[in-house]
Amino acid sequence: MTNKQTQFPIAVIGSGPAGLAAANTLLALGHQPVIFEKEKITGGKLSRWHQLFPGFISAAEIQEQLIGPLKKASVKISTETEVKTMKPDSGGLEIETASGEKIIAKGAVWASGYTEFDARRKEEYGYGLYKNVLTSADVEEMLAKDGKLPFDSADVKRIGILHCVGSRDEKVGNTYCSKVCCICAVKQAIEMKKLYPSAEVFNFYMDLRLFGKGYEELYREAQMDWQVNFIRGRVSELAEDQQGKIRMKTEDTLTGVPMKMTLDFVILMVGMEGKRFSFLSENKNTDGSDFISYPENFTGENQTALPNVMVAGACKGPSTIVDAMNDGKSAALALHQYLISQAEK
Amino acid sequence: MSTIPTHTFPLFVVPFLIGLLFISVWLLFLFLKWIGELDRNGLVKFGQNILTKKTLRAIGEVFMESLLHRKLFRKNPLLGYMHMCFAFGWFMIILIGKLEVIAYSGKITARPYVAIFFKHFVSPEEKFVRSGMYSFLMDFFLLMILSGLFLAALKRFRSKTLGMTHTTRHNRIDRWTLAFLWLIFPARFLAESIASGSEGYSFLTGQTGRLLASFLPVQQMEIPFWWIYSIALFGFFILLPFSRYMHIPTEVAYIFLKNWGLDKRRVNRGFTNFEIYSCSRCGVCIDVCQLKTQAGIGTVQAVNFTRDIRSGSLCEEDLKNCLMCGRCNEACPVGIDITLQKQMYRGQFARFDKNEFTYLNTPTPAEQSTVVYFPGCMSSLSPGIEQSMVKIMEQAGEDFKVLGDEQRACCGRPMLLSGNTEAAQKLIAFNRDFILSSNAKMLVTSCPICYKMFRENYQLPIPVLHHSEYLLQLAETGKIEMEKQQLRMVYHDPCDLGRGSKIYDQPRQLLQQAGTLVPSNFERENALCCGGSLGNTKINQASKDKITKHLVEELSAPNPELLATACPVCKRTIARHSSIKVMDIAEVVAENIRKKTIQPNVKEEFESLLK
Repeated sequence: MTNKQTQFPIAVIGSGPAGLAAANTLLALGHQPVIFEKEKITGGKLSRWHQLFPGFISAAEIQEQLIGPLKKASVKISTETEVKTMKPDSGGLEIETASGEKIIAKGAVWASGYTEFDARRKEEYGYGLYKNVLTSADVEEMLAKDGKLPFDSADVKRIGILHCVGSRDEKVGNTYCSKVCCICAVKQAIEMKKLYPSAEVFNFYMDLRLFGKGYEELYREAQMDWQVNFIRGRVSELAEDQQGKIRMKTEDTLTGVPMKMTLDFVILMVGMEGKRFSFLSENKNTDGSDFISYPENFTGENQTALPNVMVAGACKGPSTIVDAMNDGKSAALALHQYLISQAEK
Repeated sequence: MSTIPTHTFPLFVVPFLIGLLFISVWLLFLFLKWIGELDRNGLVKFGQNILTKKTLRAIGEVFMESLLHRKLFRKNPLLGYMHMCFAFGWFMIILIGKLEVIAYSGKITARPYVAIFFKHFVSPEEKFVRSGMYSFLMDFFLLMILSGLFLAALKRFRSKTLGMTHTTRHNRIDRWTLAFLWLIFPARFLAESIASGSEGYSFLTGQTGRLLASFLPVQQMEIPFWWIYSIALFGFFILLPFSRYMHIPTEVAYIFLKNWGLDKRRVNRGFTNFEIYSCSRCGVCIDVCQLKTQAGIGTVQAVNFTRDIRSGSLCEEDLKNCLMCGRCNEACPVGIDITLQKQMYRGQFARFDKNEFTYLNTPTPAEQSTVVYFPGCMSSLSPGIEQSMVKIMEQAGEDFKVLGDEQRACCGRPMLLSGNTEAAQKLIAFNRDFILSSNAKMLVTSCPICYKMFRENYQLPIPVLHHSEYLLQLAETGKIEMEKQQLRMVYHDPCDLGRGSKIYDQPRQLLQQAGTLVPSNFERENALCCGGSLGNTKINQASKDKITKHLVEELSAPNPELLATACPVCKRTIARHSSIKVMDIAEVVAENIRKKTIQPNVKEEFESLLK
């Protein structure tokens, strides 16, 4: 490692769970991370969430745990700075931002995260047209901000939660499972019961994929302790009646009976979508999604087309916060190892 | 005036005579059989119209289409010319040949083979009234056929030269028939040339004859060539009924039946046979089929369908793998309605359970209103359209009623398209009763699928309007006004609205009041299918996506700011793949509607009431 190279920082793109975890790890390994965040505020999607499944831990608390040490070490976080492209440079890596600024870094961890599925694309659910149709992200934001939803407790009799909106749906071009929506729906169902104790909550699902630690138990708790109803069936359409209530049509596919139900409000569990960056990976994903593809070879899962850029988190595919954080750490370590191996040459 | 010696009966005319006899008897038998299979309605129409002007119109159409191939000319001039050469040229040779014999012998009742082998019987030295003109015309039309033959050979070996990317493959019988057909005219040309010897008939056979006579022993060659000619005719006539060339006589009969008003909308095997056998297997329908060009599905096109029916090998998978978009109907030079045929044949595979739709109770009478708005199932899946319609009708001050979930069933078209006529009838009966109970003056729907169904299968006593027609009426009568924007739009014609119902202008006129329309490469009759068709129950999502992506590319090519369409299915399908905003015409109108100001006299009246 020449002196010239060491003076450069390591760029972390994205200040969500994966990016922040990567920055913390890099710091611990003696590097100097700088963080680039596209949005005005740090924290990525985490900054908008209320409580995290399965333990109802406050999202703000987790964020503080991640960002605290970085603040203490005066790590530079540039908000409203979008990285446009990266290319190899004699110093290691040249990073160009959307405003045209060029920064030299010795390497980077790319953790740009996912995009929420735009629920308006499932027109039949009337998101954006019916005022009583919300997305799971809307609910998190409202709860994080005010601790409540804009519906009067006395009026709410029935609440519907629709799983798999924009996931496992050929018609919108997303064949993959977004992984976290099932458990998030279970968590939000319990939150709804806490907010509206007299209301009935119905979850409409295709399959329940409760793979994580404590997920199955939370699902059980939702049924046993909170009397949340789970109905297997994909909702075909929602319509708004004159009072603004939502009429829902589905089929209970376990009994084979068509169902109609009037709901006071509906939550759409929106899935995750990716974004392709040609300078990181030319390859397409096998499922046709736009997430950043990576070598699926067990050992090189943080690698990109650029040797000194590692990729981490939900920009690679649907991921829980815990997994994203671990992947951020893993990417930081992989980069560290690469830089050491280069210095030894 | 000369006569043909009665004792001359050259043996080489025998194959021709057998062939002619065979095909005449066969066709007569077959056509009579099919006519016998017509239903009562068809037979009545047949009897009623046979001695009317309609027959004259049919003769005109036969001349324009079967002989001159006008439609084919428009689609593909080279292909049109090639077919015209064969059909019109041959027809003229038969006609002029007959006249020539009459002019020569002065009798109408000459034996049938005389005209065909005229130059064997009459040497070039024998002159009769206008013999030069006859010789010239005969040579002219022979040359015409030979030029067509040249193009046909070119098409067979290099179809791209004639602007066809895909063409059909011949089966063995087709190949033999084609070989005989191709042999007929070169054989005749050589036989006549040789017969003319050094004397010559006219510019073509005469010159060639002189040339051949200069170095060949033509005297000995004449009879063998007449034999080849006769055998070629024999082979062609014998094989024709079993080959694709059956379309030549059938199309003529089909044009007559069509003009006599026979309706294929009823399941009618007799009429269907005429239509199926009128297919010439030209293959024009292959290149227009998006399943072929985009999704690489090559077994379901109209030519394959008619072939499979003729050979009795139609399979359910192929039959149901069709978008029913009607692009092949539009392209077909014969005018066969393949979509309707398929719909009918699908009936064979339809299963109807009597207990279906028992949940459709008799509806309670509807609220009375002037306009009944039927959003249709697909508009319910695209609720922005319904909301926009309600907003517009409120603004226009219309007395309307929206049929909600409980007050309507599916229009029945998906059932009809799948061949399940009985199920469709149940749904029709339910909706019809309800619509009529509202005493409405007009039925408006925003779905082209429902629209086509209401118009063709409901027999409603009130006018049915697609919302593009209705909104244009509202705009034209000043009930709504739009703010014209600086907005570049491309309009996509939905299949059932455009080709299906011939509504092309109304949506365009309406959109022009809200912005500027820019043309795409696929407009009106030529519009592409979005791929979201309800008519195809076998296609997979990946193939659908290919079709949609291609459409979106084409629509986006002129760089519009908005893709407008008039069908909820098209809108949803296109929106999935488009980065440009997609809107239904109702949404475009609703967004740009000008808020009505209360007119001064109304305002005064209102204020005086308040006092």
